[in-house]
Amino acid sequence: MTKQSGLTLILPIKSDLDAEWLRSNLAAMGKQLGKTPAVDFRKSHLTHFARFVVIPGASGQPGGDRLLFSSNFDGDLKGYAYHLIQTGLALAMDEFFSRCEGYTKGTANNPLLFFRFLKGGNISIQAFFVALRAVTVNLIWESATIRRELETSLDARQMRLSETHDLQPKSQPVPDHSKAPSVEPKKPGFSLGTAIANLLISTGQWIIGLRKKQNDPQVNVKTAAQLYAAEDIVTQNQMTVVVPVKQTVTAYVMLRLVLFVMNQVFKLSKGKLSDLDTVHFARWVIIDRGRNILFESNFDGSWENYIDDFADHAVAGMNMVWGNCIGFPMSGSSDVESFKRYIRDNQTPAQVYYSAYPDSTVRNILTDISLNTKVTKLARPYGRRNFIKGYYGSLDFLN
Amino acid sequence: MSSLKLLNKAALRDIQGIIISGYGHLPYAGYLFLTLSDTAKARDWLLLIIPRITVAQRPEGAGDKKRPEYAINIAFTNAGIEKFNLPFVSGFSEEFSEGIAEEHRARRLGDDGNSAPELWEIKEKDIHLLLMVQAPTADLLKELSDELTKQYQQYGITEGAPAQHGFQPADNKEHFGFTDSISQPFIENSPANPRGQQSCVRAGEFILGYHNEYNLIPPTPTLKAEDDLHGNLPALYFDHKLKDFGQNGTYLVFRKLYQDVAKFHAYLDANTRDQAHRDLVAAKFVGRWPSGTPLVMSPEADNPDVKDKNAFFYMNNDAQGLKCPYGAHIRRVNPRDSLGSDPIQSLKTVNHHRILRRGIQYGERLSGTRDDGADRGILFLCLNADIRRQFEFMQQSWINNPKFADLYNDRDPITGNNKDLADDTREYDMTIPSIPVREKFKGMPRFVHVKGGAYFFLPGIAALYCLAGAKRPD
Repeated sequence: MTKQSGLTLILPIKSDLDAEWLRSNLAAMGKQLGKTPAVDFRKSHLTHFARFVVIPGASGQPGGDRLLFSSNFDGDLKGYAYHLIQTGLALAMDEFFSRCEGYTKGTANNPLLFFRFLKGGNISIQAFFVALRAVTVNLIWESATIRRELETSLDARQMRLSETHDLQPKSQPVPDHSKAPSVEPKKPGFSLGTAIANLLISTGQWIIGLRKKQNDPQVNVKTAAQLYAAEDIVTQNQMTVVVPVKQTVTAYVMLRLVLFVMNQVFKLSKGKLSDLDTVHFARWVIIDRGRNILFESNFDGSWENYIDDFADHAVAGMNMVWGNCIGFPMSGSSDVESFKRYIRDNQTPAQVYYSAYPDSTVRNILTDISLNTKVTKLARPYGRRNFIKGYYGSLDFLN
Repeated sequence: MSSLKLLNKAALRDIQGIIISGYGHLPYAGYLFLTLSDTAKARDWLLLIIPRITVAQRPEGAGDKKRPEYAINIAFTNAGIEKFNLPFVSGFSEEFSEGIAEEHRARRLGDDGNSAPELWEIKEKDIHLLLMVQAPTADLLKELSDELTKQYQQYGITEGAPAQHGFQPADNKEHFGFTDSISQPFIENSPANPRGQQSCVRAGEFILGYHNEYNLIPPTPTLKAEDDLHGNLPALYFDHKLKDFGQNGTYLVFRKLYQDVAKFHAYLDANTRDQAHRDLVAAKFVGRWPSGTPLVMSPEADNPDVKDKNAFFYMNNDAQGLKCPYGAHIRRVNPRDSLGSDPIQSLKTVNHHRILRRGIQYGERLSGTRDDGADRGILFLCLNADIRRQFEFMQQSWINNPKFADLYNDRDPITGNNKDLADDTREYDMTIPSIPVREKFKGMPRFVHVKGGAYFFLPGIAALYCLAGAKRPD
């Protein structure tokens, strides 16, 4: 079972000039991604998502910009570091990193030095959400290919299925992730566990300082043009938010406590975060010695849909984390407009955003994998490709 | 927490009638897109028009006799509001202030290729205000429009974009041959509500100043109390130093949608086996039969006798989409209980993304199957308190989203932004789940094209007097 890990590097940029250089060169590269990129993550079969973002300095004041490089990958950091060198990606990134403090040009030539650089700079993640645990990029790619081959066969009508229950095109492949819900609503019923959890949550929100009150109808969402420009290009969108944390004892304790609990919940829930099934990877990272917090997310579909999903499904979680941050609306994230404004105001556009599967939603991947599993099982005696093509006799001797 | 603000009787005299009713008894409509030159004159004109605006409140009396004999409603673009010298009103929504034609917005709405805003006949930048006129007959509509035209011309107002005229046939069948406008949300506490209240939605989803489905008051434009010179506007309950310009108003989206009927028929003819298959596929695209009966209620053949064609859900009898495909038009624009895995939550979510449709058809029916080159389609008009969360969301996350409902690469087969130009690199499909093997229509062509569009604000009567710079008479 391959674990998914996250890498978070935040490197001070040497000078404002370098920051400008990085901004424009990274942006140019970001636009070319998938065409003729300088840093071609496609070569990496371990990287799910990666991004380069120039973020403001720790104080939030202009100047002192920093380079954020983060990625979600299969395996551990040691293997990943070596992999980046093998694929030539490390060397390609050398130019960017060398504009930052703490990196010596050429480090990427030496696996040990490069690993040490990554390990030394990597900031630990307080809460890491992975939708599809143990699902590697390779498995996602392979499963998508299988599905496409099946679709092609169906389109060409080369495949006639008499046993309808073996391979129903749409309905059967995904019975196992609550795809076919019953009409019966979940019975609310009284559960001591839920009651205690609710009590804890509302107490927590009260301690953090959130109060239910009428929303301010003068709040309007304003979106920076650079954010719009980079959105809705591929199936996923990214979000990078850096906000200052309240410098109080309550916020210090609550933030760490809540993130710790959330991280445990993420682990136990196996990627099922209530009804939210549009997020691939997300992370909360406390940075700058507790001064700021970084939130990153890779989600399917529009920004609007993403935030609405949170407002519909995860209000308590959002409040408990963001409530410890400066500027978060007192009325909490159920005050959707204010919450949206808060996020938009603090979102930083990413110069480079890479997705290994720019055409697959979380739910697409689940369908693909479940289809892959079934086809593999069904086709075992023949070989999968042969089965799809309709060569039911074993052709093993040809291979 | 303050008490819930619900629609009340007293407000009806301040709310423009089009919000409450589509005025089915006035099937002829004209939309006049006007531009002002002289603000002072335009204000004088506005003062003449305001008393003629149809309000939601019906005159005292009972029954049909008291339905309005004609209807006039008025809405303004952002430039229009500014033209009336109200730069001190702030807090209009971002999408309204920016306008419909912004590049990133066009991308989300699917307005590209032949539907790109630069090519439109009706461009928002040429328009200050929209007059919507409705009448029972074509003659009366013409008479009314001519009279209004003569009047506004005297006040230095001109046509900013060609006026549009439409007619809603009694059977409500749109040009592709399907009964339209069956599923409309009802506003809570609205006088136009039938007893059934099946899809009843909080007033704040459609009118500013009331609680919406989130239990929030929608964002509203305001001005400083001292700038409301004639004291027309109510104070903003949240901050009494401000006046609520948005109260009882709402946002209006206009789009001229051309329907390529010949292409629709030709596509079906070329890609189906026989007449029965053709009829079925067309119904699968829409999600309803020509009579309006939904596939969920009558999956095999049309059954015009179904009484309530809106009384159905998906998850209880068609969770797998074998009757009504996931990608079908009506399952996208109103997914009811079928979003995600929790039907109840789905219904709640869907209520955050409803619109009130008030459009009308234009152009003659196509006779025969050959394209006659004539212009025909729908003058799409919808009302919502939050264009971004309602109209734009539907357009982006439901209609044009290739990943909607676990699909891979399908857009709305009827109104989606499908393959339009020969050099479009992306092609989208339409998947019809069926046993033993799904039917997939690859490289769907675009049947509905956008020929015009604008975002408007439809103010309450008090706000109209504020724009006109006069005191509202009691």
